[in-house]
Amino acid sequence: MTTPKMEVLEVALLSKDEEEYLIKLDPDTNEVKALHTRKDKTERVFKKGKRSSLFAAMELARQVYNKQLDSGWKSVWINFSKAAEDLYEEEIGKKGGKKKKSPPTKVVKAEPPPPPPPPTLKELLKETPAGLAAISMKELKVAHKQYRKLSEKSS
Amino acid sequence: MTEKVKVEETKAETLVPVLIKEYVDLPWMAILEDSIKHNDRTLLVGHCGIGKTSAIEQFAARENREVRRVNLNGQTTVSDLVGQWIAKDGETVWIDGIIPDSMKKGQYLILDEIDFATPEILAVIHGPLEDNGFMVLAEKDGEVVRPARGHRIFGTANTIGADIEDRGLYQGTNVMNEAFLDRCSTVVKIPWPAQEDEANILLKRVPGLPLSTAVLIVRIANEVREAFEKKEVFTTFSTRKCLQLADKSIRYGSLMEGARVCILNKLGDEDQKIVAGIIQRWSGEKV
Repeated sequence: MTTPKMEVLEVALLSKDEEEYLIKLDPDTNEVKALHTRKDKTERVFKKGKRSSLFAAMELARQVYNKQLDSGWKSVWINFSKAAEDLYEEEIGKKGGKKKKSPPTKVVKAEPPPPPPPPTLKELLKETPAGLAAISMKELKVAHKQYRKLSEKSS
Repeated sequence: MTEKVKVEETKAETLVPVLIKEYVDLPWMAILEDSIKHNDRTLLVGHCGIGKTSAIEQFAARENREVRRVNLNGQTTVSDLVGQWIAKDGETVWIDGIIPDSMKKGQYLILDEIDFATPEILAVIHGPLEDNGFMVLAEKDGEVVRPARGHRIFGTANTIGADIEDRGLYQGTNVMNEAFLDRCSTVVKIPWPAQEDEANILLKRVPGLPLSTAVLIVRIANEVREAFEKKEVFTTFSTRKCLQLADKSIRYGSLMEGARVCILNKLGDEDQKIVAGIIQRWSGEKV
């Protein structure tokens, strides 16, 4: 069974005077093309790029769009999010699953990263004087407090 | 306190040293263990506080052997070692000195700081140091004392006596004569412990000591030792000093304060400045 070919997506249109600049993305080849349409309606590929992944291609399309804005072009419409959604649905379709809308983004509170493991004896032997002093002074204060507690208890 | 007083005050069973479970065996101790096994006459040479005597004591503790120690620091007389006649209850009685007494009882005998001993003292030791050595108590009645099973004899010294630089550090030591050295069948020159080994010694012997502080102390000790080798200071930094500093640092909560009482106050002005500078650089604490 052959995999159905995905449609080329139009992701953004820009304009300057009577000229137009259309950015397209081919999800099958991860190719980004920009068509520059002049007054005389001639169309030519103005920019072209290919990326190894679809997301990298999407990023390239976005970069092209931003560069045009910097060069004095105005945005007529953009469709990056719609394009991303279409791609998602296409992907689901390819795999034979039920087409559905992209799930709402779930906000997950990031857990604090686990504390780094304490340095080993070998690592400490290679530590600089300042680095070693910083670690030691903290730990020595804690050891001293524990010593004081124990001495108070025993007395 | 002299050895004789010590013996009178101490019960025989306490002459077996206390076994330190946390004791860390270092590579050179394998030679000592082997020399004990083969009844070698062993001389341990190394800086003070490096663990010469404690190593012998720990091997004795493991074998449940009694240990006698005598310091040959110049105050010791021939009669302390050999024995003497004393007046007791209106009679004169012979009291064995530490050498024949330990030989008869099969004890380990440690002759500490043998590099301080005078030639007359060393001459007394020659007999027992021979292979199957015995001792003739000429002052008594010519009694021949042979070592009981288990008796071992050790010497410890800071320097072999020939190194002028070392003798500067250990003033009062004598160059050992060839006749004495010839009788020592094993001479172990003890190196400073490797940094990892020394840190492990501190961690095992000083409860509650943080690993980082143990490493810090070892690195300070090594830098002072390097300065000593380069003749920048006239002091060195023994494992014993490391243990004292580790203990004081925990008690005072400050490495510099600990060092002040157990290291710096023992030094002359010049050495004090240099060693304090090394400690300051490593600990980040001001002098």
